[in-house]
This record gives sequence, C-alpha cells and structure tokens, in this order.
Amino acid sequence: MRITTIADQDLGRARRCLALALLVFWVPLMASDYLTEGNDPGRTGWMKDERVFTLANVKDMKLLWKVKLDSRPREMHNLFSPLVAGRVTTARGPREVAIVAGVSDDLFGIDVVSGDLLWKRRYESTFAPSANTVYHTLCLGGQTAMPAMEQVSPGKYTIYAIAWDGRLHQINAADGSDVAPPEKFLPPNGKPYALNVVNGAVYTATAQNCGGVPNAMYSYHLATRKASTFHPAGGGMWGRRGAAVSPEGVVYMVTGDAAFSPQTRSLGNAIVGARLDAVQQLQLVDYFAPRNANWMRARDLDLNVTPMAFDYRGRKFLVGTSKECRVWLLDREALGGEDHRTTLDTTPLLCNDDQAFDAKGVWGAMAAWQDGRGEQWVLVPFWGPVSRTFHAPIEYGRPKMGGVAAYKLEETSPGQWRLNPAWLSRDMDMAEEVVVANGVVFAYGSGEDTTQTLPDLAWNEPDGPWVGGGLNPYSERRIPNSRHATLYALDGQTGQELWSSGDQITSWSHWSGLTVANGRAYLGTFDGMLYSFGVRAAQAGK
Amino acid sequence: MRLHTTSIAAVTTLVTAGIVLGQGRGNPTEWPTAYGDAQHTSWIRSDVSISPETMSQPGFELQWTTTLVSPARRGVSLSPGVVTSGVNIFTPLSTIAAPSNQIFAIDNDTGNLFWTRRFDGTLAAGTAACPGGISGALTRMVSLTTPAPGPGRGGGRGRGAYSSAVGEPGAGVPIPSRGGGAGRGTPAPATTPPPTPAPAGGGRATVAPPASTIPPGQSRPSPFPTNAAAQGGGGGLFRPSGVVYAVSADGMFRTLGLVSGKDVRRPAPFLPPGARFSDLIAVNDMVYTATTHGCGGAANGIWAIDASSDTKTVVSWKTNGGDPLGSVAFATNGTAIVAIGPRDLTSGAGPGDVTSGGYANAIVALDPKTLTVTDWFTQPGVELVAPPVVFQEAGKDIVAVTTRDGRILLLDAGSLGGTNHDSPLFASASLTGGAATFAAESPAMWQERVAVPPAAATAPATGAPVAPSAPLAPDGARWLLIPVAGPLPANLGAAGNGAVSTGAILGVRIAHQDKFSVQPAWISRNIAAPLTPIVVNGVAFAASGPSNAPAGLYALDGATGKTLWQSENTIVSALSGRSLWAGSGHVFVGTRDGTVYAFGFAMERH
Repeated sequence: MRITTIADQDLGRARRCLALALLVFWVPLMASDYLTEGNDPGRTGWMKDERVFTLANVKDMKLLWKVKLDSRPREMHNLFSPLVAGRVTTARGPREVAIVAGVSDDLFGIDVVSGDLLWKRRYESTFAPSANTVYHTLCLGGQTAMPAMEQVSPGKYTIYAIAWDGRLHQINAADGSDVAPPEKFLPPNGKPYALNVVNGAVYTATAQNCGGVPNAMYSYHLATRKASTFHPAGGGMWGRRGAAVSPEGVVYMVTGDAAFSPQTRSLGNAIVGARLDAVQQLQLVDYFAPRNANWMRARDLDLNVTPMAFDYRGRKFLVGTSKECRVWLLDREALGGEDHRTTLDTTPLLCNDDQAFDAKGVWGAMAAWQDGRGEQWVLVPFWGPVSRTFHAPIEYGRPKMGGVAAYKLEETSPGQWRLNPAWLSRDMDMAEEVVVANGVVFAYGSGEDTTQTLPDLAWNEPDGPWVGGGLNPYSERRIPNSRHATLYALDGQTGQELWSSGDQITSWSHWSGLTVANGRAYLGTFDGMLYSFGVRAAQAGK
Repeated sequence: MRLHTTSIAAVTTLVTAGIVLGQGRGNPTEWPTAYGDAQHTSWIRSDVSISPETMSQPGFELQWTTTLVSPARRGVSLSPGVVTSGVNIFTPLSTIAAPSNQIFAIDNDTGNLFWTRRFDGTLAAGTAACPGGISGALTRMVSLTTPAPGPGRGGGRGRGAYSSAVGEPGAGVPIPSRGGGAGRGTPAPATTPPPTPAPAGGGRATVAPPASTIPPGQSRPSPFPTNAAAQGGGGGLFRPSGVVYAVSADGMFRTLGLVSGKDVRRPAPFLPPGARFSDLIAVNDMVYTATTHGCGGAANGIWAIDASSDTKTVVSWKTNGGDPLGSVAFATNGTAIVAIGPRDLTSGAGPGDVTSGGYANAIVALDPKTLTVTDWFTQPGVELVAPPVVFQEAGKDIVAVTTRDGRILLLDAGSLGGTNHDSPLFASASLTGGAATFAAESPAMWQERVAVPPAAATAPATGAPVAPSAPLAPDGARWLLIPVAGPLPANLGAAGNGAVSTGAILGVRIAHQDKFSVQPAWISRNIAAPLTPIVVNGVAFAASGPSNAPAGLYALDGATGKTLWQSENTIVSALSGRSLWAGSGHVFVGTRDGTVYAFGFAMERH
C-alpha cells in the first residue's frame, strides 16, 4: 500500500504542472508543419508528426477562435485551407503561423494561438480584366491555387503563390514581404490548382481552359527560372490538391473530359505522370487510364481527384479515384502495366450508383496513412449515397448525402494487393477532404449545393412549373441552396464519430479544404470566416 | 445586368466545352415514340455501334436486365419504351408505361431505375377486351420530317496530341500549339514542339454565344420551354431534358418531366376512364391516340389534345365502324393517317366498307387540328390488318399498308385512292398465297444507303465496335419488312433463310421508276408471332412474341434477311405485348414478368 504524503502530492502537482508547461511551451518547439495541400508532395493528407491530437482528447475539441478575413468571394470561392508553419521567427518572436489565401488575390498571416492577423498582403497585379471579362463558377478569376510553403532555414519559411495575373510570388511567411520579385509563370486569368514545391520546382495544373490557359501540368524551376508545361491533350486537370509528386520526382495528375486514345496521343480521362528532364522541361513518363475511360467520358465521370503517391512495404503505390466512385490501386513502377490500363486492384463502386456527373462521386481529396501496427489505410470521402453494393465490416448507417469509406491495403497473397473495405462513416453532407492526424481522421461535409442541373418543378410547386435537366452550375442558384459545413473527427481504426462541430460553422465551403496541425483543425468558409477548432492542450497554449 | 453578362460568359465557356462534350460521347440515337417516328417507319437511320458489319462480329449481347414491379394486366406488363438521350445532359433514358398505372424511367446504360411514378386511383379488374390501366405507350414530341441519315460516329474536334514545352528563363511558360496532328502508332514519349509565345493578354477563348442559350434559372425568360426546346431541339448543355406525354388510367393527359416524372403541366381530362387506347404520338404540339373496343364508353376513334395550350382542348373523331388499327401515323404535311379495321362482324358489315358516317377497312386522312376526315381509301375485298407506314418517294408521301390476303397497297397520301377513293397507286398480288396471312403488325420501312468517299478515319471513342463512319446518302434500295404469321409459298421468289412454320419477316424491295413495283427478296428464319421489326442502321431486329413461350430477339441483315445474331435462351418470359424498342445503341425487350432486357455492345462500363 502506497502512502501518499503531502510531499508526494506536491511532487505530483509539480509533475502535472511540468507536463502542462511542456505542452504549452514545448509543443511550439516540437510543432509540425503543414506546408502544402495534403501535407506532403504525395498528397496523402497524413500528418505523420501530429502529437497533440489523440483519440482520447479529440472528443474535447472546442472552437478556439474564428476570424473573419477581409477576403472578397468570387463566385462560390473565398478562402483556401491554411498552410501552417510551426515555428516562424517574426518580429513578435517565434510564432506558429497559418497562411491563408483568399481568392481575390489576398494572402493572410495569422497567429494560430490567438487568431490575430499578423499581416495581410494583396498582390499587385499586372492583369486588368477588361470590361467585357466576366466570370462564373467554373472560371472565376482571381487566385485559384492554394499556395505552398518551404522552410528555407530554421524559423524562416517562403510561401509560393500564383496570383490572378499568373505570376509566381515568393513571400516571407513572417511578414508577407517579397523574398524575390514576382516571376512570370502562367498566362493570366487561368485556373491553376494547389501548388506543390519539390526539389526546387513549383508544380501546378490547370483546368477548364479558363482565360485560354490550356489544361496542362506546369512547372517552375526556381533556380533556372524556367517554366515548363506538359499538355496531355485531355480535359481539365482539376484534382483538388493539385499535382502529386512521388519520391522519385514524378508529377502525377488526372485528366478530365477527352477521349483516351494513346494512338492519337490523347490522354483524356487518365492519370498522367511527367518529370522534369535535364533542361527542366516536363516530359511524359507514364500514364494510366481505367478500362472504362471512354464510358466515363460518355457520362462525364471525369478523373477529378488528385492521386496519392506513397510507399508501403517496399512497393511504390499510386491511388486514384474519380466521380465514377471506384478506387484504383496502381504500381508507380509500371503505371497501369504494359497496356497502361491494368490496376493492381480496382474496387467496386463505393458510391454514385446512378453514375451521375454532378453531386455524386468523389470530388474531394483522399488520405493514406499507416497505423501503429504498420497497417496501411486509404480513406475516400464521397458525395451522395453510398453504393448499394458497398459494404464494410463496420458501418455507421448508410450515408445518403456523403461520407468517408476506409479501406485497408492488404497483400492477400504474394504480389496480390487489395483494397479491402474496413469501415464506413456516418452520413456527411458532401464529404470532402480527409486529413489523418495521430490516428484521428478529420473530415468535413462542405454543405454546399453541388448540383449542376436544374430540377423539374411540378406545375403546382413553388416557382413551378419548370422542365429541368439543363446545365446550371452557377453561383446565383447554388449559393442560396447551400447549407453549412460540419467538421468531424473519427476514430481511424473504426470510423466511429468522436467529435463533430455540429452547427457551430454557419456557412458552407466550396473547393476550400481542411488543415490539421498541432492540435488544431482549420476550415475556411464562403463567408470569409476561418474557424480553428482544437483540443485543450492547444487551448491552454492560447 | 451582372446576371446576364455572367450567363453570357458562362455560355461562352460552356458552349465551347459543350462542343467538345457533345462529340464522340456515348450513343445519341433516340426512339421518341412507338414505331420510332411520325411516319411509323420503325427505322433508326444511323447508329454508333450497330451495323450489319459489327453484328457479324462477336460482342452484341445482353447488357443488363431490370425487373420492374409491374403486375401484368391481361398478359401485358410493360409497353414499348421511349428513348431520350441526354437527360440531365449525359443519361440516356427509357420511359416505359405499365398497365398498372405506372411509369418507369430506366437508365439505358446501367439499367438503374431513374424514377418511377404511380398515378393515383384504383384500377378496375378489367376484361380481355377492356383491360383497363394504361394501354398505350408514351410519346415525346416528334418531328414530321425524318432526319437525314447521320454519318455514324464522327471524330469530333480533337484536342491535339500530348506535348510539352519549356520557356526561356524568366519568360513564363510557353503555350504549346494545340492543333497537333494525330499521329498513329505506338505511344511515344512527348516531343518538344517549338515554343510559342504566351498570349500577351491571356485572353479567353472567344466563341460567340448563341442568343438563345441563356441558361435557365439565370434570366428565366419563360417558365416553360417551348416544345422544341423541351424535346431537345437545341441549346446544347443548357437545354432542358424535356418531357414525355402519358395518359393515366383515369384518362387524364399528363406531361411528365423526364428528369423526375413530375407533372410539369396541370393534368387535363383527355379520354374516358377505362378507355383502351393505342400508343400515343405527338406532333406539332398535339398528342394523338386511338380508342378501340368501346372500352370505358369511349367510341372507336381518334382523339387529340392540344398539349401546348392551357385549356388542353380535346377533339375526337368516331369511326362509327371498325377499330382503328394501332396508332396514328402522319404524312410530312401533318395530315393524320389512320388505318381502320373491319367492323365488328356481329354488326353485319364486312370488309371494304365506308358507309355514310362510318368507316371500316379504310385508310382515312384526318385534319390534324380538327380530326375531320379529309380523304379516305377503301376497296371492296380489302381487309386491313395492320397500321400503315408512310414514306417519301419522288416528292410524295406514300402510304404503305398490308392486307389480310397478303397484298401490299401503296397510296398517295395526298389523294388516298384517287377521286373514287378506291384506287391505290399500286397493289401487289397476294404474296402469301393463302398459306399465311400478314401479321397484325405494321411493316417497317428502311432504305439502304450508298456510301460516298469516306472521311478520314478517326479513333473509336468507346470500346464498342464502331459502325462505318463514312457519310452515307439515302439513295439505295428501299425495303418494306413485313411480319408474317405463318409459312410463305415456295414460289414467292424470295431467298429463304430456313424453314418457316409459325412466322417470319418478309423483306420486300420497293422500286419506283415512274411506277411502283415490289419484289419479295428474302424471308427470314422462322420467327414465331413476330412484331414489327426495328431497323437500326441496316440491321432489322425482330422479336418473336407468342403468348405461350419465352420471347426471342433476332438481328437480321436488313438487305438479305440473314440471321446475324439471336438471343437464344436469354429471355425467359413471354413478350409483354409489343414491348420492343431501341435507342442509345441498345435494343430493349420487355417481358410479361416485368423484366426489361437490354441488348447491345459492351461499353467497357466496368
């Protein structure tokens, strides 16, 4: 029997105080970074270094702060998900800083502890839209690519951002100042997607031919200042997280609407891989198209999701998906095999039984992570009802509006790899990006109206009658019909809901994203509000 | 104003996209009404994947089955479907009426149920003659003129070939030329085209938007599109998916949105409840049907409703004689053409009878708006058994009709039977020789096409076989494909394709050089109780429909009658009435157990 003395109690208190102090003061010192969309060049969405969030404490998440940023929305876009630099040397001392891009060519530096604005930057522009230049939901103008960041030395980070005018900015995360003059990169007025900075090169991809900018991959080599493009002759390259880059330096991106016809060098509805050659020019390395690529084209089921590149048990994997709502497991060493159409595994439909081109399917961003036992997981968020044929050992209902499905990557026999369903989440209103931090799966339902066609309205319905079916993806219709976003924390092993933001987020999110770092989860919404939810340790650090 | 300019911009971009979207995708062939068109030709002029050549190769097979919960009434559970391409832009849809007072919409690609609609009301038990429920197929609005044959799958605008480029230091990215020639052969690593200067202003693609394509919901100039627009008459991606017309068991006329099956117009009284009505057909904003057997107190006759007006004016015409045979066909000038069968024999009247105010065994022309008789044909000894088909020859609309004694009559639609109403342009001798009769099914009409020099070949965009894509001209041999109910005489002079005992399709070539002539050219294999065949790009699909055996589907070479393919034992239930239709590269069969069978070439869907 242990006798507790006053001295023991004092010692215990002291130990607890020390632990708290360590949490408060050491965490920033140990803080991890979230420097690019999806956290790593492979776009896995896995925060490997997260230590603050745990399965035990995430249930205690609270709204730490919210701040309305001075960012004007364009169409349905406003804020992009923050980048987080764990320890930036600022004029006020070391700070953990969130970098938030706004669609109207804005960039914000925010102290993540307080939510205070450290600095704000609006890019000077060389592009002036003419009076005749008009925009819509798909070609909205402005800053459309989530920036990326690099730590260049202890306490010093450089942000890379593409402004509306197509120029590449290099900005000091400490104060928003230019590290280098803006450089010509893309033509203005395009629609680039999230940047990826790897080995001295900045990568992006564009879609919808906005501003006349072709749908292509692009690179900017920082040392030589040479910009390159690979044009796959496919459709828009509109994966949410932009291009993925493998450890081998191959840049992977999906292509949308166009025929897959390698004989005629048209790589529509495919995943293409390109790499910089000796003269910093992107060259095709490999490509894959699903066997039903042209069926997908017939139904406009584009490949629209950034693929994930990761290694597991000595194999180099690439995982892709699309609006069609299957998941493809690929071998990066022979993408699609000899015929470029053979996967290691293709799952049955996860969702979109209707094979609809809008409001259903996978539109967000996947995650891939390994648990403490070394098991590899692949997480797929989706819109709309789960497929009638998809079943997982653990299910939390049959989602109608969307959800997250977890697969385990397993070697069922030597060399035979399978994605086996493990769990299916609760219903989420248009589930989008997934980020995994220390065994906790963070996901959110965007709450946006994702339909792109008009419905029928009966003769006796309000505003009826109306014969539907025509294309109308426009903001004017969808904004009033959008709801509100909801953030969720799930147990990565089981999918069980551990926490939800409920109704705390009052607006919705379109094409924004989710950031998780150091005990905080961030989500920006259409109304310009940036939300920071976190656990007590982080709250204590405020 | 901003809404407007936004719309224009959106249209600019999306119409540009739509040009690409609309090319090389899927299979756009439609089947908007029973018998396929206003003239009842049962002919789909061109098709992306179906042709005699592709049907001679393996690959055409069952794609899916879907069983609908549709209790049969008097042996019928599903009507022929109507096919619309591009519902919600990309979905090809079959809409099918069921006697159980239901409408089903099925995704033609997947077999998934798109929507279903059950109308209110309790159905009476019905009798064999008056089964009640919905007895006629749905229809969409159809054009009075048939479209010229298309070129098959075209290549569409390409996006060039893949390529890469690198710019000079500090100069930004060069935009590669996009007109790249489509080299063939083994995929090769990208080559480096000469860098081209980036556009100075990064301007937008400039395609002038058509003024008529303001997207609905933006400016909403009208809450209800014109019928042309609703039927898919243009407007690219922004056009509404359209409507389909139905009559529910209570006789109410329905305008259903193809996206949902909702009543997008207020239902209106049309027929007496319980009427037995034929397949609907809609032209020039009017929807027509025929009633028979006096069911529900509805006299035998033709009915029409003005689908576009708020008042939904109904007009009708009574035969005061025989039952109309099938539904209403149309000459290209809009005149309604109806075949009237014999009087009920119990009434004492016989074949070839036009009495004062009453018509039997007659072809009648009706004014399309008033349904007043404008002309007719009848002849003693002529007993009509099937609805007519109309075709154009030398600038005239010609009505072709078959008789019970095996003759083919050709009539000038502009002067049915001449001044005495009893003189056809042409009457053949009996082709059946008394050994068989023509079936009570309309013939199909199609015309061979003569190839002109092909355009440059393009790569296929689907995994299905690709039908010849050369531009074709419709000036080849004209064929009348006649369902026959039994064996044909050996001295007919037609090439046989095996012994015939319980039915077949007779292929008759129709020639016209000053005068018409017909030449029996081929007899198909035995096909029991055949329906009107459907001709898709030169392939005649014939269904056998005996009431006591599973249905069969046969693909015949439309010019030789040779069997190209057959469904063998795939179909396990008897045909549901005349439930055969085609479109979007498929041929569909509905059976009495409520199952829809879709046959076609695989689309590499999985």
